[in-house]
Amino acid sequence: MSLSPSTSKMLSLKSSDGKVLEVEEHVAVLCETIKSLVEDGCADSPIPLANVDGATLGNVMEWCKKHADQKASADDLEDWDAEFVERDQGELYHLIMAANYLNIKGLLDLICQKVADMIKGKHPEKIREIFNIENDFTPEQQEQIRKDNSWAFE
Amino acid sequence: MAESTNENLEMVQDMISILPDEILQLILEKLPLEDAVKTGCLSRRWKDVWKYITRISFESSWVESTGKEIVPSLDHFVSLHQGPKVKCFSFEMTYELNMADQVNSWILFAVKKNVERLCLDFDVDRVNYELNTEHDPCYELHSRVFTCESLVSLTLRFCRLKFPDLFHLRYLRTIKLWQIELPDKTLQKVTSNTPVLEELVLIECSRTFDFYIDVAPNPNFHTLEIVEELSEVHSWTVIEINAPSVRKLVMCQCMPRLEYRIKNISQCHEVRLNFDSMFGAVQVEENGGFRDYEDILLKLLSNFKHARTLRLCNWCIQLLSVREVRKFTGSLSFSCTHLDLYTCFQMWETPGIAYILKACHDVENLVILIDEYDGHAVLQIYDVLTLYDFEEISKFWRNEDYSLVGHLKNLKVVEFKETREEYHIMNNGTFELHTFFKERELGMHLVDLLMENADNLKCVVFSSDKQQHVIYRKDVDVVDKV
Repeated sequence: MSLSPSTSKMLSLKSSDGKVLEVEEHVAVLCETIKSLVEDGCADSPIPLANVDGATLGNVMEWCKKHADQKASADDLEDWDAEFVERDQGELYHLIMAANYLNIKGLLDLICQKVADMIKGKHPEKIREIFNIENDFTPEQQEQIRKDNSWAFE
Repeated sequence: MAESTNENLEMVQDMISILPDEILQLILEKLPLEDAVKTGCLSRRWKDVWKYITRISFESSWVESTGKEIVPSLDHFVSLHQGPKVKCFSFEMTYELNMADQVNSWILFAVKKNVERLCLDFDVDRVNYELNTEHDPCYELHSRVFTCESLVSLTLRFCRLKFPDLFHLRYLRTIKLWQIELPDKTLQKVTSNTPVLEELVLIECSRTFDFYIDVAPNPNFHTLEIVEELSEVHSWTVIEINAPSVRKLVMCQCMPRLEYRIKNISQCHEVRLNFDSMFGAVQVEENGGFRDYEDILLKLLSNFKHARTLRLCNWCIQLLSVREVRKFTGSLSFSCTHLDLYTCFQMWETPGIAYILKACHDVENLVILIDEYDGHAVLQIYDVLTLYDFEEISKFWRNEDYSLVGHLKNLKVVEFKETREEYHIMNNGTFELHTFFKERELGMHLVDLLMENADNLKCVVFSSDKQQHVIYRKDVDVVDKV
């Protein structure tokens, strides 16, 4: 029944903490960074990915695998993505940095949208609380900011 | 919440603020503008990030959530923005006469920052809907837009276009013009100076005079879409289309004009007609009040003989039904291989469906898109309704005028597709024809007829956005033998 290419070439990816992951080439090339290496014939085995740790690489490839699946419908992917981004902020941070480094636009957009949704419509004080952002303005700066922004909000 | 016993260090750290600027900008660009600007008061790290965003959109939500007017807000924003680049710049407002200088300054701001997508709506609340853009109060678009080299997409609503003698938009791929008067030669001039144009969308343009849609030949051109309401379009005017390189022609909403002259669409392989807004828009005065629309539609359809893909709305089907029952039909014939039909499976769509199936003798793929009947989508033609007893639908198809025997020789795949969201076609894993069609007899008859008459039919697919069930022809043979 399987429609996926049965003889897809495998690529080895090596994370920053030395873990090696075997991934089908048609999945790995969703990362533009890896795709250009493959196209230029520079895909040495294993490909070293100095900026991505093993756990994050596993998560990234899980996403790529789902999105490389030709059979997955748009609705199906949407539901799957919504579940995929249900993670703590540490994991989201590492996923964003990895998606940026590996140049996976779809994944970068997805996580940025998730973070944007956590900010959307909320009061600044609430946003600081959610992300543990320290308000480091002096009272004078705070007053200045308030004045500068009065064109947009009180 | 954060005080779990097994405290993860990353849980209490401010991870978001250590993201690089370009990623923070990416996040802000996914927020409504008011939320993006507001992040400037979070901390020193965030103070200026919003001033570098490349997607700027002042929508009605800005006014709703900030309580500030669009015009002074835009003035402020434009003076504070520091980034070198603006990819998308859009606003929605109601233009008034004294605003020209301000609007010009915003547009120059966007052009200077090499804007790629410009979307300017000067009549968001339709207060000027009845006015003509040839007259005041109407903003005349700053001519600098026509020499903006970076422009990829341009959307304009309710403004006057006055082209400079020389202009060239070498990267412009999409143009959407809405509620704008476009006198003769205007579109010819625009399309002659946009060498990679792919899509032209014309919404409620040139409503009071004959509308000449001339698209200069261009190998990149693909889609021409025309959207018109019934109101405000003068019913005695015509549309003339001369677009030799158009591949896909889409006509939406209503069919308000007296005539549609299709001069040249020789490359067009796909046509979509969706005039379902006609159901609510047309008031019938007396019997036969639809005669004119029948003629206009039939004449329009006769231009699409050579399209490979044809999509017809339910209104078209019903109009063809009326025509067919009155036996006024001419001999329309289409060579399309793919046909999409919208239907609600009301009994008296039957003659229209029969008619179009017979006219499309080459069709290989037939997709029946099932709309929910809401009591609204019905032509009120009483004389026709009384002519036929659609209650006895099986007799109808036995009538030799409507019989499909000998037709549909090339039909290979039929798909019945429910357009309602979240429609479940299976119950506990089993598929029932009756349940799928919700007892709508016409649907079930159609399945039977296609199975009986389309000799080369391979399979019938029943689908919704989530599920799909396929019945292969040979399965049916087996069942029949049993």
